[in-house]
Amino acid sequence: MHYKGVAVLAGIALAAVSLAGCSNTPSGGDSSTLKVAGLGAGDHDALVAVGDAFTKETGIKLDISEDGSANYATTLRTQLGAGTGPDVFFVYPGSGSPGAQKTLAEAGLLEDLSSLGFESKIPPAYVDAATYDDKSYLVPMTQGLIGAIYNDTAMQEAGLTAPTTFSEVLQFCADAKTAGKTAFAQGFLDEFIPQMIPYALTPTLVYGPDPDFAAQQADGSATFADSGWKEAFDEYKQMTDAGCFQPNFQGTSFVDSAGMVGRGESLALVGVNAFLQQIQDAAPDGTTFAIRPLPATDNPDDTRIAAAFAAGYGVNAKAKNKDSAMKFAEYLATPEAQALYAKTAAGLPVFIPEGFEADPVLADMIPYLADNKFSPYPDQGWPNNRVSAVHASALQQLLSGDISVDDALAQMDQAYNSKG
Amino acid sequence: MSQMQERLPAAPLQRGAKARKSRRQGVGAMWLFVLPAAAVYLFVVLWPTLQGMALSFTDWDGLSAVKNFVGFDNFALIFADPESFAATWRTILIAVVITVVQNVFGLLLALGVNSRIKSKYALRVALFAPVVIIPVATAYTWRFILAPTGPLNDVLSALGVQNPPDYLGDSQLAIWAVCLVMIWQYSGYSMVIFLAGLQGVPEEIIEASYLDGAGPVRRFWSIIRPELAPALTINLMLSIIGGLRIFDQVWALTNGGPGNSTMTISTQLYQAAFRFGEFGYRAALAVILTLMVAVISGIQYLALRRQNGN
Amino acid sequence: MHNKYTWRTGILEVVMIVVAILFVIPLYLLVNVALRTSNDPASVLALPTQITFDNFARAWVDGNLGNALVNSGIVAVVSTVLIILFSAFAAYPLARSMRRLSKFAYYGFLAGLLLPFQLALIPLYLTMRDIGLLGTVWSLVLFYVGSQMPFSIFLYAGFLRRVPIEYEEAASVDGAGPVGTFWRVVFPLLRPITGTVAILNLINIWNDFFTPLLYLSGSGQQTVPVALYSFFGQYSTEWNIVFAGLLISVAPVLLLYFLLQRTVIQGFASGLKG
Repeated sequence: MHYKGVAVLAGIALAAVSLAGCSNTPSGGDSSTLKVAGLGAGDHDALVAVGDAFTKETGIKLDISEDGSANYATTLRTQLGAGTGPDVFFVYPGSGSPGAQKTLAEAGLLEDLSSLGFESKIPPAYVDAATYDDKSYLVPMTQGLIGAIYNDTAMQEAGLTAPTTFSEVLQFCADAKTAGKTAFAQGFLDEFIPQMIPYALTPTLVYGPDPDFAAQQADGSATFADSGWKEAFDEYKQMTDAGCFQPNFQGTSFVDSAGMVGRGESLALVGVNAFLQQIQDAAPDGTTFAIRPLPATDNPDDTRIAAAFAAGYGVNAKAKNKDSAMKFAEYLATPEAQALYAKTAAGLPVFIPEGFEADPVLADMIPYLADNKFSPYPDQGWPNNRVSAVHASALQQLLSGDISVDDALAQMDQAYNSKG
Repeated sequence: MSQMQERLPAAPLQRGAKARKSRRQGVGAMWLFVLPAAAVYLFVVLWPTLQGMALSFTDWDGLSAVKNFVGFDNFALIFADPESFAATWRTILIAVVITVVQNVFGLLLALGVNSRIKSKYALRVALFAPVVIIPVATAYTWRFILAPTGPLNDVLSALGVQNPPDYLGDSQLAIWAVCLVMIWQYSGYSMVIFLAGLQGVPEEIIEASYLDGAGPVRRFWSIIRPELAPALTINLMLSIIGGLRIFDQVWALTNGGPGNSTMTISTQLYQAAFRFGEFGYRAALAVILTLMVAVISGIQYLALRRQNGN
Repeated sequence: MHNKYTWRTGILEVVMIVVAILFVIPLYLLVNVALRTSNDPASVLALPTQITFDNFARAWVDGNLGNALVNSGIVAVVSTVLIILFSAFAAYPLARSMRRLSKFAYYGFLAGLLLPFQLALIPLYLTMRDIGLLGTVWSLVLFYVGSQMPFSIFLYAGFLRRVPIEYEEAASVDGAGPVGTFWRVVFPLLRPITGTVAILNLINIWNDFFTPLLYLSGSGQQTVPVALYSFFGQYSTEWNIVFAGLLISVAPVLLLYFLLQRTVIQGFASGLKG
């Protein structure tokens, strides 16, 4: 009698727990449904389109979930660590990020996909980023390219043409100013932006002339400080001093910078081809765009571009539906799926199928791929995730004049050698 | 503070069998009263926190099954890292600035809306409104306002200011922008708590002071201030704890940048765990944060208690 | 005489209104941007040339906000009810008994105010997985009930110390047991602070971002802040839609505050004497 209230409380608590038990079936229903995690944003439509085609062909249903790219690695790591991860999920190539192929493969969380036999078709330059210990762990879907994305309509209005040497770049910045425009709009506030220009410059300055640089760095015989990276940072500083970027670029968000290029207030921005989507969102109808390499020397023949596969999918080593998961992975590597995915995401497939028509804005970049004048994004070869974080913060400090080029490179070398 | 009331006897003072019986039952029932709360609290807060602390002595990466005991290595790493020190000082600076400004401002607002002005009810609602906005959304709104070409700089340009500041991109300014956003969001919270304290001041006392001819400042200091002591205690505790733990706003506003200039312990902690996979290191950072919060708020609590007790 | 509205009061009124306007400008911008078309030529500080509600419709549909509001609503309401019951019951003996053990228990609860949630985050995630609550809103309910205990007990205990003990003595002389006394006599007296506890917990729970992100990830369920966040990513270039979504998400809590603002302040007023 006296304890009635307590009994009521206990009852409520019990009810809550049992209710919880009831609703414990994951949304998405029966066990034959394949759980797939994507990155969202630009890849959303592509994954859905390919998923639908797969379901039509095999009858296997997909349950696609997305947390958005900002939190993707956070939730994925937690889930994989706890064994609650999806069956098939987006994986970053290489090793530079917490959701990256090598990191996950090393922890034994990815299923070996070598048996699917797509490995031989991967362009040699990408093989390293898709494999760990000579085993293949992810199906590459699209390639990303880094270059300068030009608003050609605004370029014509300003009467300017794209630079093909580094001296021309600096001249281009001055000419743009005269025309009342900014040459490049860079949104430094977002962490993934500062690194774009070094990524665009280093294939020409570091990884092209010295193809073994990454390997030498790994065995300790090369450093950032004593390499073409120094030149890349110097050039970055020169571009800043020459007024290539919009006023207050440090506090500009990527989205605002994309808007500036879309509306033609800025002539270009340096970044990956996927940025085109946000730029076009802000552009008036009829505006034309083109992506071109960012030159780093005064000889146009030296110029190389950074290219890497941007999207790939791996299979959870502890997948509940491993058979279906492997079927889906196999399907992703087929020419139909590759073409469909790339078309929907407005990108370039890794296994370029016969007769694939690339988006015309990429026309100036394709020859560099065809002639093998490209290197992968540098971060895909970095041993830990600290390097890219330090890279971004060091660049922010460098360009606001807080530290010197040598300091910035020293910070990066230290991060490269840290155990993390 | 009501030290006296705390010492009031718990059980009725009657003697006799009946009273004694009900007293004994009271003791048994007391633990049943506390049981549900204690059970959930132990399960959700204390036990996992202890597990988390245990992780600070390991090199767990958050992914693999391997956890090696590494003793105090993680703590040694933290103390060897100049960036950790910088982040610690920054966190303390942010907490202190927020605590002082938010409370002074909150108190002034509370005095304002506790006066005879006609718009006081409308103003209370308006000034509290930022409190209920989702922190991440607050940060986005302010990113929009503080952007180099955003509305604030539009106004400054219209007023003829050349080269308006880059609030989030300037490593000297960004930390103040973070404080500004926090103060904007939570001053209303402090205001409501102070307002509550002010409403506890009996009308007659204020009235009497008018008859005494006490000036507004003296009136505040000698009559209102003592009554506000409990409100002040709560406010200081909440804002200092909130300031030391600040995460959402910083992460969504600046990501800890530019160039680490707004990196706090919490953002470092997040980065260590989810970007670098250093869960052991992260746990060690969290232990340090806990100790810091405990020591600082403990000192503050004792200081205020002593002051209020007299 | 002090009840007169003097010229000084007038100046104060003007100053306060100006401050409040400065305070509300960000909110004004939110509403103003959410109500305009994306290509409105007027400055964001000026009123829109043409008012549209399309942004709200798009945010509602594309952000899947309906579903998120339901989830957030369930989590916030169920958690808050449980928090009120658990913390009021627990605070009663903690505030009344002066035994050493109960003091110890009280400070044990208060210690929770100091612990950063990050420490418990991953271990608790693993526990939630083991008991099969992961991916359900009940994992969140359980989490909030536990993690909001310290603050709620703190508020209730402070208030209870102000409630004269005579009421309970009278009830206990009438032969009511402790539970009956508490439920019929004490709990109704706690109404003002219950309002405060309710609204503060609702705000905290409604606004939490990180826990639902982790605990519901991959389940297809979302709460409002998580839905909003992925929505930010998707529509990052379209401020009008983002802001419309934001307004939808804060509306329920803001409305509740409008309705309860008297109670909240009163509750604080009488609860702050601890």
